[in-house]
Amino acid sequence: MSDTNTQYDDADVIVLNDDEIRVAVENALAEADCTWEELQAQAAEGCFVSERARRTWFIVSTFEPSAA
Amino acid sequence: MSRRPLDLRRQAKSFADELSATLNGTVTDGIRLVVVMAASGQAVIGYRLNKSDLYGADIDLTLSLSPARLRLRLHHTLVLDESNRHLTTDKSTYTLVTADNDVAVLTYDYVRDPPNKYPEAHLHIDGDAPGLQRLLSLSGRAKKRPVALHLPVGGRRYRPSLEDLIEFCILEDLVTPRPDWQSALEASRDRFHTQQLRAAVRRKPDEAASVLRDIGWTASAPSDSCVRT
Repeated sequence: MSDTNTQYDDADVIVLNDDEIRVAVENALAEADCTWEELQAQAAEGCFVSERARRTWFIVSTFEPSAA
Repeated sequence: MSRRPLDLRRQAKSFADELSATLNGTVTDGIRLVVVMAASGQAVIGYRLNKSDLYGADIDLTLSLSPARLRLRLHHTLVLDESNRHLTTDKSTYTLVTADNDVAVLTYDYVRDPPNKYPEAHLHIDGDAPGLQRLLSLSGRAKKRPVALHLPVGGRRYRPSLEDLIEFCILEDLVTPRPDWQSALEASRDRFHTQQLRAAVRRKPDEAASVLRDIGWTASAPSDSCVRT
């Protein structure tokens, strides 16, 4: 057990440009085995095909993939 | 980078630090959360994220090198509000996962302005739940699993927090906490509740002023030239 956990309370911040965001979103969608359109349809129903798909929508939708 | 992303960067980092401190002060050891943000002004917080992996890894809920029984899958997405001043959680999702089989047990979700009819803050129960399955069958949705149900939990302003989920794990003896976990948890929970209260006052200033006047304070509306957020 660490004696000084405060050393970890200093988050790394990674800033991505539009191209890097697009690649990260594409990676996430590939891992979930879904397209953005499929995730949008599942979100509209409130029912996802898998936990991975559900979480991927949570992560990538904030970055507006359709506009990337 | 404009002022907006700089403000988001500062506030998102601060929020990630608070979440790390809450975890490390209660049920984890040496967790450092990561913020990945777009230059255009959105951010996601998670564990072991990097520029090509926004999913990252689950967090072992253990204080030692002994294997964890439970893991936490955590993501927050953040934006600045309409005034460009206040950090807002766009979405958050916390899933408890049993470590030995990597299976989700339950999930707290929050979706600000969801694209469906379900409540913004809700709980999903994973796995077999015969009572819930029976409910689905009775409502003509026998093909749905219990995890498809969105159990409401308090709404936008009064939703459960990460602290509540951590406390659940501790009180139900699912994890071993630090000896001083209660003080760390209460400090963190108080911050969350204060933030929610401040947000509620910004949304309902007339109600806030009315309450203050009821208990003897002097509170008046700003002049027309003031910007009300």
